[in-house]
Amino acid sequence: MFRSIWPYIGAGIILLFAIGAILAPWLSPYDPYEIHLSEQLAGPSRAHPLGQDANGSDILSRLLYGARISLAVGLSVVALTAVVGVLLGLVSGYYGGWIDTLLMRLVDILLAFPGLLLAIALVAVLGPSMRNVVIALAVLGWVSFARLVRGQVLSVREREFVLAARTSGQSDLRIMVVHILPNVLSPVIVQATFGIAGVIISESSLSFLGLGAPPGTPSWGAMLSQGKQVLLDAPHVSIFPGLAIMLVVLAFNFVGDGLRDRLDPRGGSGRRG
Amino acid sequence: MRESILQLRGVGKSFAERGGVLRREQRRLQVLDGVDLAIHSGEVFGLAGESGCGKTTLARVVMRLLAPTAGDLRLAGIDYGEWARRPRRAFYRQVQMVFQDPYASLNPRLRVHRILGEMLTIHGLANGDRRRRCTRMLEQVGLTADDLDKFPHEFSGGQRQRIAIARALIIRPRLLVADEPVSALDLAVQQRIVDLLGTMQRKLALTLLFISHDLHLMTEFCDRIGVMYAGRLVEILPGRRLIEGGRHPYVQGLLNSIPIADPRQRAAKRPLLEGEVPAPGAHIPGCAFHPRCPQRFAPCDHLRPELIEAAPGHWIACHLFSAT
Amino acid sequence: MTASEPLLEIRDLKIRFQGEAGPLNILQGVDLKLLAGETVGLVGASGSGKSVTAQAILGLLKRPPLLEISGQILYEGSDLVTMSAGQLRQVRGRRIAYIFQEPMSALNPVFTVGEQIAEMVVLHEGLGRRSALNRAADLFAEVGLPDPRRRLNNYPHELSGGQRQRVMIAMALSCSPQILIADEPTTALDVTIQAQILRLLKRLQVERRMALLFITHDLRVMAEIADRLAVMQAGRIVEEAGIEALFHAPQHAYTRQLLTLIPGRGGGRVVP
Repeated sequence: MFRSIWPYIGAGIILLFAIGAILAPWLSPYDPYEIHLSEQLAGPSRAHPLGQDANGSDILSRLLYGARISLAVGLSVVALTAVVGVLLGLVSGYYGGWIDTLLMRLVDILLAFPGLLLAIALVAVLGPSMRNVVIALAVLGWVSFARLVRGQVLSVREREFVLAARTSGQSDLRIMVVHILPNVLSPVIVQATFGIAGVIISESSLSFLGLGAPPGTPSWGAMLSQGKQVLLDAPHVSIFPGLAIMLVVLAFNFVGDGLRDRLDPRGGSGRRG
Repeated sequence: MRESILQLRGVGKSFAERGGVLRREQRRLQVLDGVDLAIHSGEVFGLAGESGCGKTTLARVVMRLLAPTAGDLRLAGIDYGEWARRPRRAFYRQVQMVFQDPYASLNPRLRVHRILGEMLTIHGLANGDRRRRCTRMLEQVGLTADDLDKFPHEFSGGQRQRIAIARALIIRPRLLVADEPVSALDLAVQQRIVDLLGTMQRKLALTLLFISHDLHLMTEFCDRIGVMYAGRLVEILPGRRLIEGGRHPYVQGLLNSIPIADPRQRAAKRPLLEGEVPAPGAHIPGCAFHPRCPQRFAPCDHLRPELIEAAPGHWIACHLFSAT
Repeated sequence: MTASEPLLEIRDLKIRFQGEAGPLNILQGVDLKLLAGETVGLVGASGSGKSVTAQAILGLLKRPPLLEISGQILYEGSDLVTMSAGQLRQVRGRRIAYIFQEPMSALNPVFTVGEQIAEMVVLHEGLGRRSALNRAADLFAEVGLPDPRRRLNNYPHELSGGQRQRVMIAMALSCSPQILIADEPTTALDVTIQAQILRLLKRLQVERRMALLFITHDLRVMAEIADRLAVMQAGRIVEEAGIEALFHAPQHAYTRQLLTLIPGRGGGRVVP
């Protein structure tokens, strides 16, 4: 299906992390919350392959549980924003007029905010919790989907088969769902894979700043933040969560690139360069 | 006088050209300008003209794909304002359309039986024998039951246009608007599609609005032909009389421009039109054709000629014929 | 040069392309002569090989899809098929010029048409910029562009389709070619503009004593412009004759079939 090997590698990495996340309770050698103050910051060993953190908790176990948070937040934010964005973009592009003007001005305004700062402000107001992280990231996340879909709809709307659908006498809703939506979905799927990668980074950033999961929760961002204070003495505490973030983000980008090449032959080869 | 199925009175359509930061209207592009037309029940009416003359815009206004900015239209005696208050499917039960590009007018993701079948569903005609009705319609346009489960990309251009015709006719509309239905096809296929349209028109007692730029094709096929120039109808006459009887100076220039398949009658010996069609934004006072007209005289540059009946069934908008 | 000696002669030209399902025989032995001061029409359905023939003359075929080329294209005693790329550049655009169907794709959208044609003039005639622009204005006048000086400052998108095709013709003339190859130059145009362009090409061909190789699928257009006609089908020339003979006494079955497909034929037409 794909022309190069990278999308397969990406999919493989995502699959591994997904399995790790789902089977975390069985795969983890230890309880991720277990504290062994006597074994603080112990380096990788036979018993703890990735070492232990400031509380003496097993880093491998925390990484596996952390994958649950990263993937769950990534998927839920993207699912939520994609649905909202696609609907708004569809309506905006199909009807045009004042609905379109209103929505697109809103999009312009939201795009003018620095995304992460807005999310920080929102979480600061709502209080740090996973639910609020999802809300904060979703507030801006739909914008890119809406804009993408609107642009696609504008070009598909004037294609003759859509005109033919209108002159066949069917309702606007049916035209949008049956004739337009399937023809604009490909770029949405591509955008979604890149979106998941972006959300995982944002979630980690928020957690890194202490605005994500409550203290002690095994989130990759929080783990990275914790490791920051002991970076020179015990680099393994930050290296492994950092590596996990990088791998998953890279994997989603590989898949995204592959999907884009596959679904849209006109697109460039993009960031692989 | 036969009953008119479609009537247009003073129909105009202009588009705003916007520009600048505030997207203010810069100027209006007048694409249709006061079109009067009545299409009789059961006739094949040909609408001819070069690109930019407004014939496609007219088709889209008739099909309610665009709203006119002036004038009014009636279909089956009912005003378009009234149609707008009724369910959309009621309007499209009366009138259907075949588009120019058969590669673009069929949804690439739907199989033929869905393309045809959804027409029956929308118009509440899908009782039990849906598949049989689709098959029968396909056979009428020269395809077979085997084609029902195929996707559009599995067909040639001519076959796709047959499917588009089947889609339009499966609900038995009274009026079919065909906008350049053959111009995207090879010559050999063109004739066969026109023949098919003619057969269906007779079989179903259909009224046909056939839009084309190919005058030769139309003169054999259309009962009446209207020629458009710069958004207006300049001449309406019986189809078979077009080639010899076209009197408007633009129509004569157009006829002279058509290459003739006889090397002994080269255009080098015929007077050709100078210049080009005006851009839609150009405001030309009087007759829109006068800057190019070899026969212009006093009134042409300030008085707009109205369409008048110069001979029975032969309408011309030109001062040469209205002076009397 | 005597009238019987051809300017260009194609001998047994065979071309194979790499297709998706294996090699395709695009040209299967084409013979064609082009004499000075005559218009030769090359007519055929799409895929018959008429455009490939033109591209072969100009050396525009790329590998892939080009797989194999054999035969000769003789021009002034040398063979264009075996000529080096450098020598071919000397010929292409100087002695042999080319006009496309879609002038928009052949013009650079970010330069004025004056700049583009002046560049050609500088290249071919080694003139300075100012005299090159004067020369360009003369050429614009020759191809019937209204207000030629002002046209020099237009960008391609500011011109109509017919005006763009006139610009293309002016560019082709900028090198005073002996041979002009026009590939469906009027197919994208409206009928009134087509008639103007055909008349223009015919006039230029006669005045400049060029050989014009005119390619189209439309026999009606051929009847207006060609002196001699070659009918192509599936990579072969199946019939070649003077234009009147071909229209009034076609020999090959395929030619007869093409003639019956012409709309309006048989009905006849009286010139008003």
